[in-house]
Amino acid sequence: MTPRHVIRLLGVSGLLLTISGCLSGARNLGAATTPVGTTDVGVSLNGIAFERGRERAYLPSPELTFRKGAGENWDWGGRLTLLGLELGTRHRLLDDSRWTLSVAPSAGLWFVPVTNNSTEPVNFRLGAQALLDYRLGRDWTLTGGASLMGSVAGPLTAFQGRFNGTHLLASPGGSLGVAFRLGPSLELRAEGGFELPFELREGRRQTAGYGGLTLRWRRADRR
Amino acid sequence: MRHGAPWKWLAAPPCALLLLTLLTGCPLAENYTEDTGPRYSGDHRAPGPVSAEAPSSVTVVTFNLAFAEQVTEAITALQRPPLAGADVIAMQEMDASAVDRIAKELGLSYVYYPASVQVDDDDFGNALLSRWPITADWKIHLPHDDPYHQRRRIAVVATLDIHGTPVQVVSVHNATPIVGLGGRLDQAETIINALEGTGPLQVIAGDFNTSDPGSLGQTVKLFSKRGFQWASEGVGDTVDSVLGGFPLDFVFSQGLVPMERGVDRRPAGSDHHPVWVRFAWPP
Repeated sequence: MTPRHVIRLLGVSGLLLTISGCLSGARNLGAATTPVGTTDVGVSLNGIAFERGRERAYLPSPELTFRKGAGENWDWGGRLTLLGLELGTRHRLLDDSRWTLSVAPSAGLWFVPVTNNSTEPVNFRLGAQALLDYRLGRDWTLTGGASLMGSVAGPLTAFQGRFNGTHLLASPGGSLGVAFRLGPSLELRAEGGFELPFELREGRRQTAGYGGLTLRWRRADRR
Repeated sequence: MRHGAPWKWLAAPPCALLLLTLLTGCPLAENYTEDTGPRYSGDHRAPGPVSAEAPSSVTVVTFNLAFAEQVTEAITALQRPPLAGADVIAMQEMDASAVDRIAKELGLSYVYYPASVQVDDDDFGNALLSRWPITADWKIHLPHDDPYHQRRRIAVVATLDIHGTPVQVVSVHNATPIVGLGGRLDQAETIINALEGTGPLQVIAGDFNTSDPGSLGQTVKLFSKRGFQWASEGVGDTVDSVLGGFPLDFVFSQGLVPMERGVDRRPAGSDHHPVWVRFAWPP
């Protein structure tokens, strides 16, 4: 491999990495909210599958996540990808010894430098995810998720008030995850999911999927 | 929030919005959206019939002349073998005066359609120059304007009368990879669809901007599925860049048999190198 090939490989890898985060529907969350006075911090490595040209492509997507306890039954937090940020809250609706049900509304803004069939580098997403935890044992928890996200995806000229090329999308999705408690304040979570985006005027777009691992640890907030 | 600093928090969102607006304040491209023009044409061939005898081959060249800045160097390149005597030259990133000058120096007829105006106020478009009569021509608007300037891309089609046989030739300039591979495949398919039913002999040549991973393979697959042969297959990289060489320029054909092909990598006034294909004639 010549230096030219190395430079080219680095350039292409950088390009591919920057397009990945914004395509991921991964949230890597369970239904149990973070207790008041603590913060959960997580590092995720997701693999995402998406339409590239007329074929399917796969990319890694690293993410940082955090959740901060805000009340007895709710927390807030977000996830940071390479070129995007999503913030939201999570509200626990039902809880017993086996089951926890929560809903997690969120809003996110992503820059997508390279798009596929459409010209829409700016993506604003707003929606919610319902999360259901089923505790299999002391250390294992199964999480099912259902989400509905609405997106405004447009060209950079949208910031100048020119919306030609802007699309409105609705993306229902689903996820299934399993979490294993490694220690009192350490959790490993594996999750897979999909989204079925619909462009409101043009119809279905190709399904996007993801799978990933998250290592999350909890620490007490400073007083 | 600390006491005494709320103004900072209040000022942050408008400042961020202003910064974003400045960062994204690229001027919009001025596109030529009409279906029929602007159109420029000329005929600098020597008076009289082209040739009494049928040719034994037809040579097609495609050349992106990088904003038509170094026209003299391009003319020198097009006057030396293996490009000298080309029957058809498909050119991209051209303006009207550069096309006319090249046609005049080489003794060719031409048709040129600009797609948009460049930042230096020169036109930016595609041309076809031919040793044979151009009997019809039109432009094809390609879908998916670029998302930063909303710049439009086009293809220019000409019907050439090669010794009594009509041949459809297209000069293409697809969008750069900021439009995404799916969008560029849509652009290529738009051209293929526009040529349907126009005749059995077709050549589609130009800059397909296939620098991103996988785009070359999917572009070739699309043309192959639609009955086109990759006539310039195997010529290698056609552009030099800081990231290395890229194969961006192609010739696809239908109904014609390619005999020889190549890239002229000597300096020609552009970051692109001219690609040539010699087809057997009669088809």
